[in-house]
Amino acid sequence: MNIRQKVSLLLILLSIMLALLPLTANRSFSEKPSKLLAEVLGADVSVTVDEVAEFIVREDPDVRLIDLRPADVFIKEAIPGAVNVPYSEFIRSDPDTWISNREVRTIFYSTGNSEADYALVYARGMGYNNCYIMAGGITEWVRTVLDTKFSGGRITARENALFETRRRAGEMYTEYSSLPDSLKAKFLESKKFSAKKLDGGCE
Amino acid sequence: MKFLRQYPFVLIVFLLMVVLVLFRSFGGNNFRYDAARWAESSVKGSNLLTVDQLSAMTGAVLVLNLGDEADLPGQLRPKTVIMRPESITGKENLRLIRKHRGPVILFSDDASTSARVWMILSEMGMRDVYILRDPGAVAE
Repeated sequence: MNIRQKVSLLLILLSIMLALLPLTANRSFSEKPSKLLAEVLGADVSVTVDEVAEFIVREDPDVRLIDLRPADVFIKEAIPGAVNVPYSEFIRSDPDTWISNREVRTIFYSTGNSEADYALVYARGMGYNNCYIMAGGITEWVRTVLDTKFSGGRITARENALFETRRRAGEMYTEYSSLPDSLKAKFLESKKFSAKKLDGGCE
Repeated sequence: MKFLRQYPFVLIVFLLMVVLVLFRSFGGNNFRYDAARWAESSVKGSNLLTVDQLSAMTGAVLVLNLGDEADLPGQLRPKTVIMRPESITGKENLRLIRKHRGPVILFSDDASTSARVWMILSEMGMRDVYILRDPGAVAE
């Protein structure tokens, strides 16, 4: 048997082995468990709702919000600019579809924390180190940003700036949430369309 | 096999690949193939246990208390182990979890800690791991 035949035989055997592996084998965690654990238990994987409010007010292009709640909940109210990827869809599809752009910071949020926590570990386990969660989810967002109130006689410049950011983010949230469903859908579509156009560049 | 034995080079490379795949699939300290499959119970919510469900469980139950001070009332701790969350992937701790025959329940004051630890253990191939839902209700 010459070398070509040997290599052919080897390839056939390896192909058989590959065929026996699950189709989604490429979607597996690549980090070491201990390293991943230390990473996801650290405080720097969370961003506060105030930070998110600031991103929204500034319309920061380097941040992408992913809303993991079901579509029917998302359509009722959501943070402006967030993309809805229900948790089940996120897990069952290729994460690359949603978080492939590592240039931007991806922030997950859900109603509370749990689904965002799962998604965070899932994404980071696969090497998407640009993923974070909004601590407390929408519950915390409503409590901190929407229910923010000015109280007391004196306020520092820093507190004033924080209050102003919350107020503006809250207004944007309320305005966006009060749009009819059709307009929200159009708004999201227009965002997608713009992204595609930008990908293409100038002609 | 006789045919393969005539070509040791092919046999050696093939066996090496098989060993690597088996190690990757069943090695105790690594993540398993097919992340989506191991995360599926979090989609269905079947990885969550209520206090009542835990109370009704018979047989060996291992409760891992991931909190510093939080504690379960006596009737709910057939076998409670306090474990710091960051040390859960340590050899001893993993051995304890793997050796246990029966459900392993994660309990923490901070729901985020339980959820993150659950995902890691699940992706390591541990099926019978659950999160105790609403642990605040237990302490009351």
